[in-house]
Amino acid sequence: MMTHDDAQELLAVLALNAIDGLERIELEDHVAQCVRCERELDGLRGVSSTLGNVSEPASAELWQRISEHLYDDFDQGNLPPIRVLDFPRASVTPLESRRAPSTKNTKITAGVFAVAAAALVGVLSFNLVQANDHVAQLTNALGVADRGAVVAALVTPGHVNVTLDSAQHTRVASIVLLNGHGYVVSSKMAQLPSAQTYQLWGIIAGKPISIGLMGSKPTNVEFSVASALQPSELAVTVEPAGGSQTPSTPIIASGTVAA
Amino acid sequence: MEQFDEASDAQLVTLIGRYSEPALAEVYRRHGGPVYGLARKILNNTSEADDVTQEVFLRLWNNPDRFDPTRGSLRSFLLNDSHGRSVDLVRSLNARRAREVKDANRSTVADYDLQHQVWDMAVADEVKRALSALPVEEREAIELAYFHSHSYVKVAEILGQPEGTVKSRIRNGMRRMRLTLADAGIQGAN
Repeated sequence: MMTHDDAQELLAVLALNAIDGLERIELEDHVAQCVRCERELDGLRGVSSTLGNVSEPASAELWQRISEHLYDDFDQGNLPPIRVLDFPRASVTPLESRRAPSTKNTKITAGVFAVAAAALVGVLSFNLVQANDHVAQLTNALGVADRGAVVAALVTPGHVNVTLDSAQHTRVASIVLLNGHGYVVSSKMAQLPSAQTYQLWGIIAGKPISIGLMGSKPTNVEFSVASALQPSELAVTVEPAGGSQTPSTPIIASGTVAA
Repeated sequence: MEQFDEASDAQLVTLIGRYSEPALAEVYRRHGGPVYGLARKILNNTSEADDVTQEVFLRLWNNPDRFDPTRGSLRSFLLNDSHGRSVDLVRSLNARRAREVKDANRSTVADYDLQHQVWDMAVADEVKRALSALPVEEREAIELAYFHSHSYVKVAEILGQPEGTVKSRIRNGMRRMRLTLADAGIQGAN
C-alpha cells in the first residue's frame, strides 16, 4: 500500500508515463482514492500534454481507416450499450474563447447553443396515450427495447432526450423519444420488491396520464404510444405491481420534455 | 463537418456518446494532427504512429465516458492517451530506436484552422522556453522520460544517479514548468 507522501513523489513521473509494473498499479490505486493526488496529477498531465503538443498532418486516409473500424466490436447480437453523457455546461468552454477577440465570442456562444439545441431538441413528434382507465392495456405498451432501435433513435435527427431527476437533483434515468416511441436508455432506479413496479406518467395540462408499467428494475425499456396530446413532463412513481390509474405515491423522478 | 465547427469539445464527446460519426470526424480534424504528431515523435515510425492514432480515436469512440472535461481539455486527454499507447508500444517491442527530438515548431502544419495553428505554435514556443529555462539536470530527466519513453528507473541508470534524485528532478522540473506555463496563460494542451 502506497503512502500519500510516496505517491506525491511519483505523480510527476506518472504524468510522463515513466513508471511501470507494480509500483504504477499501486500509485494509480492511490490516486483513484485520493482527491488531492488526482487533482495534482491532472495539473501535471496538463504540463506533459503541452510537451507533446506538436502537430503533424493527420491524413484523410487515416481517418478513412479509423472510420472503417468503428463498429468492429459490434454485431447484430452484441450492439453497443448506450452512453448518455452529461457534462456540466458551466465548465465547458468553446475552444476559441480563450484566445479569440471578444467580438467573436458572441457568435461562438450563439453557435454553440444552436448546435446543442439542434442535437438535443430537434422536432418533437411524441404522442401519448390518452387518458385511459385500463391499466392492463397500458401494461402492454412497454417492452424490452431492441438496442439497435435505441441506437438508431439516438443518431436520428429529431429525437428528444428527457432526463428524469429526483427531488434531490440526482439523475435517475434518461429517456429518448422519437416518432411515438420512447426508450429508457439509462436507469439508476433501484430494484423494487416484486410486489411493486415503477410506473411512467406523462403530464398533460398538469394531469398525470399513465404511459405504462416499467417493472421492478427498468433497463432498456421501450414504450410506444399514440395520441395527438403532448406531455410537458414525464414522471415516475412506485406503484403496486398491477399499476395504478392515478399516482398513489409521490413522484420519485421527473423531467421536462423540451418542445 | 461544418455544423460542428463551433461546438465545444465536450459537446462533441457527448454526441460521440450517441454514436455520431460526424462528431468523431470533427474531433479528428481538430486533434488528429497532434495525436499523430506525438505518436510519430515517440515511435519514429509512421506506420506505428498510424496504429496508435487509430487506437486513440477508437478508444474515444468506444469509451467516451473516459473523458472528463472537469479534469482537463480533450486535447490534453487525447495526447496523454497517445503518449501512453506509444510508450507501451515502444516498451512492448523492447526496441529502443534512435529517436530524435525534433524542433517542435518545424512540423506544426496540421490540417486545422489557422487560428489553432497559430495558437499551437505559440504554445510550442512557450513550452520550449519553459523547458529551456529549467536547470539542465531537470530538463534532461524530463526529456529522457517523456520523449524517449524511459521509465524513471531507466533514466536514473542512464544518468548514473540514484532513483530518488531522478524522481525529485522530474517532480521539481514539472512543477516549475507548470508555474511558468501558467504565467504564460497555458494550463494544458487545448
